[in-house]
Amino acid sequence: MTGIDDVPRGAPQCRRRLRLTHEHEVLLGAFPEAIALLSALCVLVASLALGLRIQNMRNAARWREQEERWQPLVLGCLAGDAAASEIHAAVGPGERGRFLLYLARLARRVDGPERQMLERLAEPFLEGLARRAGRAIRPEARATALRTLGALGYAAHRDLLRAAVSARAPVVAATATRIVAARGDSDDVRELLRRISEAKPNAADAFPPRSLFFGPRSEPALREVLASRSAVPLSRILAASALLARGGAEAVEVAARVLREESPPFELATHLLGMLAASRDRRHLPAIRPWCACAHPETACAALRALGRLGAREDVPLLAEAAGQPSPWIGLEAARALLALGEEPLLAEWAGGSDARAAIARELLGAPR
Amino acid sequence: MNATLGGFLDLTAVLAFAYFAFLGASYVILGTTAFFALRRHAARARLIGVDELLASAGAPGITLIAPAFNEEATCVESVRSLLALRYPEYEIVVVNDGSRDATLARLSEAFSLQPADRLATASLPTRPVRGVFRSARHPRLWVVDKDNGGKADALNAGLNHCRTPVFCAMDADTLLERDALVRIVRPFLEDGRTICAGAIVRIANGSAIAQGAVSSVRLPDSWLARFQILEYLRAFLSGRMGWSAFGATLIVSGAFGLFDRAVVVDAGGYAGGTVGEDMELVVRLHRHCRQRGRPYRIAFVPEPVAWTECPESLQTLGRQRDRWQRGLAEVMRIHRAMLFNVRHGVVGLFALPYHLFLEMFGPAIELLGYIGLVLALATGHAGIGLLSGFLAIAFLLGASLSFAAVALGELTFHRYARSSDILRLFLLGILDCFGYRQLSSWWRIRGLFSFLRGRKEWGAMERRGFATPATEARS
Repeated sequence: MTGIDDVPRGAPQCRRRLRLTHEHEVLLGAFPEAIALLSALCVLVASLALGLRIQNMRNAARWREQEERWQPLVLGCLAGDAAASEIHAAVGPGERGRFLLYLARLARRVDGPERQMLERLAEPFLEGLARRAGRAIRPEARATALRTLGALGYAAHRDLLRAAVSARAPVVAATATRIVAARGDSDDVRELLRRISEAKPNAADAFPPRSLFFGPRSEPALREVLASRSAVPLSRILAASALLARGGAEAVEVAARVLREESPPFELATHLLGMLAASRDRRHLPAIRPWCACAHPETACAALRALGRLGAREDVPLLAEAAGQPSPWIGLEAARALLALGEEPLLAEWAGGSDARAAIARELLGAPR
Repeated sequence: MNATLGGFLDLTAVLAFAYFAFLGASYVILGTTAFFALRRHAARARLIGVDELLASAGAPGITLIAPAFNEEATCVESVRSLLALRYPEYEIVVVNDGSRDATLARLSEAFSLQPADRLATASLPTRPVRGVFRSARHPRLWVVDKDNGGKADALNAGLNHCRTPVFCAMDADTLLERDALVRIVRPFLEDGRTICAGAIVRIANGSAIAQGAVSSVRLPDSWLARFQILEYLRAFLSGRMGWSAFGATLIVSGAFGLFDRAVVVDAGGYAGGTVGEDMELVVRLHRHCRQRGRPYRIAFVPEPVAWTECPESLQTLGRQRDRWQRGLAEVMRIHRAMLFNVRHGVVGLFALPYHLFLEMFGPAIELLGYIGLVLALATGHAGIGLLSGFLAIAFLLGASLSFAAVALGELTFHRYARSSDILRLFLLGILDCFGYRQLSSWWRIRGLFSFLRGRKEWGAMERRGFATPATEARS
């Protein structure tokens, strides 16, 4: 092989030709390896695709077959026609994981004695699952095990679930948090809110606490956190939004007091105003009115909405003034409140004009109600 | 002369090999990252169902903004599919962007539109609005009729009439899955920093459409459409998913994307006079948030939620690719200050340079490589061994990427019910390298020249309309 060092000086064209030849030789030498590597990659990914296809089809078929086998037995057991031992005998050692997933899916749809029966059916297999929840290498596998444990054996594995709330893997912590919020008692929820408020906000993959569903047993703790001036704002916001989602009736007095006596953050105030609006209790109007002039549009809108639901004729001037504000959001909400209070003639009068209120009035009066 | 040619061939060889090396390395990194990100997403989706999230977090209201320009063939079917979506609170604002065909008449007739007043909540500049209409039968359907100003202008007009915290920018001819909004809203529920979310858009050509929804997924008869299906799979599952895992999503398809209304209005809305308004907005949102130190997230949901009709003629496809390339070049010009800028993190240091060198100039380098190879062969600078080796590597790289996209598709959503379709996709992955890829590069080079010449037009798109099983049977 001719190399660049063998080229005599003073012959540039020849040198160039030889240099290229040398580079091409090097390239040609590397081609077989590169081609072999890429061919192997092609075969590998194609096999992966086909393998996944086959696996998906087999899994779907196996699931169907297993569920068709278990369904009559489980339904029979729920109806009292079959014994739990019959079902346990029908579940092979390699099928326990899937069987628990199947029961967990059913358990999420039922309550009361039916759920208790499903929990009894799952009981003999839960120990293995608890080991998996603590030791599995893949976080997704741990989280799946926790989710099943939460659905079928919360009481017996409460400590494990509570500890998992602080797990380092976000998917495990998120799953445990949701389970504890939904199924935990006041102690669990108090502890949970404390831990959430200590967590780093906006961390990558951070758990979204605002999307938590709190179960009925958490209500005393939620009311307590909402009323506590020393609780961090995030905990109080979570408590308020959870109580609002539950109807908020029991916490209305607390909400009104916080709005009257404190200067809560806007997001908390918005939830509290929502709770007062839902209460339909006119006694709380004095707590609502000052918030109509709030600098935060979302909070002001929540106050105007509440006024539309609970207000009286005496609130019309306040609402009429708000309807003329430059913010279209506040203007619209105030006009809607006026309409809800039966002030259609006032809106009809505005509709003939040419200011910002006219457009709002025309839109609302033209809207189907 | 020989020295000049040698110099040119040297340069070409270095450029082409560097390009292929970077392209291959980028694809391998993005593909591997996408694989793990997809697995994570699938696990998370299984563990915390979106219905569960919606029930607890509450669903933010969404306004679907659908600009329509000469969409008489598909607009009624598309709006029907929008009206059938499963989502608690949403409005539809169709913006008729000065259509010269019967788009407005078709909508008016199908949905009993009546003139109505609607207060604008933002004042982004747009071409004059001629009128606002509301459907007498579907109160959540509004139509804004305006002078023609392009897609960006139409989206801004829709945005001015948006009342919800989140809006969805889409094409009027996009068909959405029934639970498209439920699925794409997930990042907004999970992470308060989310300002934008994109999802997978798939090609509906060949699939059966019933009552405004894709009822059975099939490969189309047209080879051109089949190649595009594979191209979309590669782009969405590997490229966009990979960049999303690095927090550097630059493109959210104009056919379907969800945005935080307040942030977009604050950033100035869509840039008028651009042809790549979707990418431009996303890059601007990165810039806007980073300059203000605002924590943000631009998410990508790796689920197929929207279906679109792809061109089936070479002429229309060529025009579309020309426009896409001009859009990319426009974004690079407008946001050149972000390139290699440390302040813009992964976006400035990696994502934008990748799009500049590999996506924008890539086709030109490819063409140069082909020319160089032919010249080298003709002048004896290279032998047939080099040529065949080079082509074999290019082919194998392309094929492995296509196969990987099919594998990622199987990992996430195995929507092709027939296994024969998967085998056909493999075949397409092999055939793709012989002609289609080169043609695509040519269109993109043409787009680059169009950009340099200052061409701004959108380019006409021919729509056949979605085939329903009944019409298929008749034809």
